Amino acid sequence: MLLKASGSPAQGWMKMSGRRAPWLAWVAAALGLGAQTSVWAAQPSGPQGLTWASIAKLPDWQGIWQAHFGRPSGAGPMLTPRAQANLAAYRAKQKFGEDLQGQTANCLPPGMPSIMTQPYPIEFLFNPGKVVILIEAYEQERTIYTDGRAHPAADILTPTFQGDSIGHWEGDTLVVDTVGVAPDTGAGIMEGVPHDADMHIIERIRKADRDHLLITRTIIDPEELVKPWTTTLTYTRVPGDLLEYICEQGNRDSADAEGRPAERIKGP
Amino acid sequence: MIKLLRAAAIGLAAAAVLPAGSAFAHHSTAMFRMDVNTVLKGTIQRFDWQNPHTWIVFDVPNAKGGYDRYGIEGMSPNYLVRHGWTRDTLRPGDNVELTIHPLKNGMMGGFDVSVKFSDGKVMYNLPHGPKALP
Repeated sequence: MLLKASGSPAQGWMKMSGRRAPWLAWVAAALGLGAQTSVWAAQPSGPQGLTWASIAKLPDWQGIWQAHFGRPSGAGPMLTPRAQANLAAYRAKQKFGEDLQGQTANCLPPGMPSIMTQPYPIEFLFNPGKVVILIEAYEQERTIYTDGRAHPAADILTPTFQGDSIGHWEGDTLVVDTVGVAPDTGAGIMEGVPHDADMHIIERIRKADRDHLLITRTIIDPEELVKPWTTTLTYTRVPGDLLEYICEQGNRDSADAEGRPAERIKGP
Repeated sequence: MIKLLRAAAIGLAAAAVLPAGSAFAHHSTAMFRMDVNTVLKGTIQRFDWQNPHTWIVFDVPNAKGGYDRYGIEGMSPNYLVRHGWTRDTLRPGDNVELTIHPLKNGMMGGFDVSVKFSDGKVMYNLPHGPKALP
């Protein structure tokens, strides 16, 4: 049963921070204590884009934005012993020719968080109560509900590639909270470290200047990460529009169930 | 409890951790010898301008008086079109030099690094340079 906002938006958000009071959730976040961390600990401020008139007051994120790879900003992840063991097993398999190719070679999209760090542009569309991120890679989209709703209750939340995303604006920053990412998607937290069903991702998205957008991403996954892992990626506005990307159109690559790569060289 | 966990954990240096998901293609580069550049001189038979990879069918004269037919993968047309390429950058019949990272399995294939045309002009397929950003 989806919880709906009641009373003022602020009251609704306070109610939907879960069983704990917002201040407890903030303390929990500071200590990196797991999936109950609530993004609602910080209060929304400024226009929230619940109406077209309000959307007109939101920051202008028009254009298409390309992620820049290079030295990541922020420290690397601190892996738990279990995650280290996963990574070591992954690297050992690679020596035997396995786990060299993920399922994206078979055109399955990578899911969160990897879908946000592909070498193709993204675009933000604003609608009342939602922000939609169009992602050129694999022609994916993420819908971030900004209408004050909570995540669905755990017993009805179906894990998906993109997860369930809710968000609010704090001035010029869109704060996004994502849970419910299916654990068997994509490259996980990083290559060789699959994420757990309770992985929790918080993104803070804002424009730094006319041509640069920053996404500060925190991944919380206590089984894999000793503490929340935060990195900031810069996206640059590039000319043009999103293009079609039908992965299956001309795919010659493949990976079997053990991640062994193959390529079809001959034939159309 | 947290202290114990911290003691047991290893923090990875930021430089060792690329964003999850290849910054290169919809698959890893594991099939290719990324440390080797092989130069092939031959003739374009076909240039397939489609996702997820452009595809070059390339005939290279061999020692037997015939041709070795290579299948060379390239970047997505979405990437290439944003870096000066078009679907006609390579046309059937063009005599060019392809620099490729060859397949590890020894078959006649690889990933295109660059193209050198008969007029000397070079165009890059694979992102290149110290800040090889898409």
